[in-house]
Amino acid sequence: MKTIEQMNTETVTAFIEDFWNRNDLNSADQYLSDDYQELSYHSKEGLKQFAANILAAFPDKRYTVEDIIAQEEKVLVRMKVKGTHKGMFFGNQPTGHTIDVTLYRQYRVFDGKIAEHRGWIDMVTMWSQIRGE
Amino acid sequence: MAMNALERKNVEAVTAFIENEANHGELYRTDQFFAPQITEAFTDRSCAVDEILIQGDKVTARILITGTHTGSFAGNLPTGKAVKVTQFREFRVVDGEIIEHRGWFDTGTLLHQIQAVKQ
Repeated sequence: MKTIEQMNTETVTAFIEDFWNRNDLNSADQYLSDDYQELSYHSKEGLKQFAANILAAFPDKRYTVEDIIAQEEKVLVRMKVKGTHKGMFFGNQPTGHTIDVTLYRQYRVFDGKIAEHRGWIDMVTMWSQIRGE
Repeated sequence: MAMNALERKNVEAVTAFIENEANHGELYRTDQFFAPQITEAFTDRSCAVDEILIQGDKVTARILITGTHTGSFAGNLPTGKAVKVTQFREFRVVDGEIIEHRGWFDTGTLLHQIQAVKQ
């Protein structure tokens, strides 16, 4: 018998793989609840748009989960994103530089559906890598 | 699952650590290259625990640091603005004793607060 934390962790890691790594943006409709609250990208559509923008800027981007902590409905993930800056990113021309940046994402999962997300990322390190410093 | 007695003890150890000002020097240390600038750029600091998650011997705290932007930070000149900086700090706690911890500053929301124009 799996704990609620194990099940929620599996839901979140499967979503990260399908949505953020396999770039199946429509998979969001399957993983996210109808009343999904997006606290970093405004809305479910805003999340898809952001993912499309990041993919255009870093076409080889890859997210690696480094640690997960889960308690009841909450799942907090520490991960790294690596990729090559090959497209426009917030108005910046492609530089060809690689990024390797830590981010955290926190989800709330109810009945196997992701109902809330908020993200945090180290943009100072990311801009420094984009500039090739 | 609801917290058991041991988990509650571990959470209390982490909360006490964060609330003890004697530990704040350690709290501002991370392995991010810009971390040494944090205490120079942001003054009048105070720390509060926003949220704590526990699972087994892992305890992760989301800490909200408030301060005033009075020094240069990552190329951004002082603005005099009041800012809120989020830090995640992951602890390993065994039987109420902190064995190790590591911190990480969120600079995404920090940059938004101190940049005059979007990059």
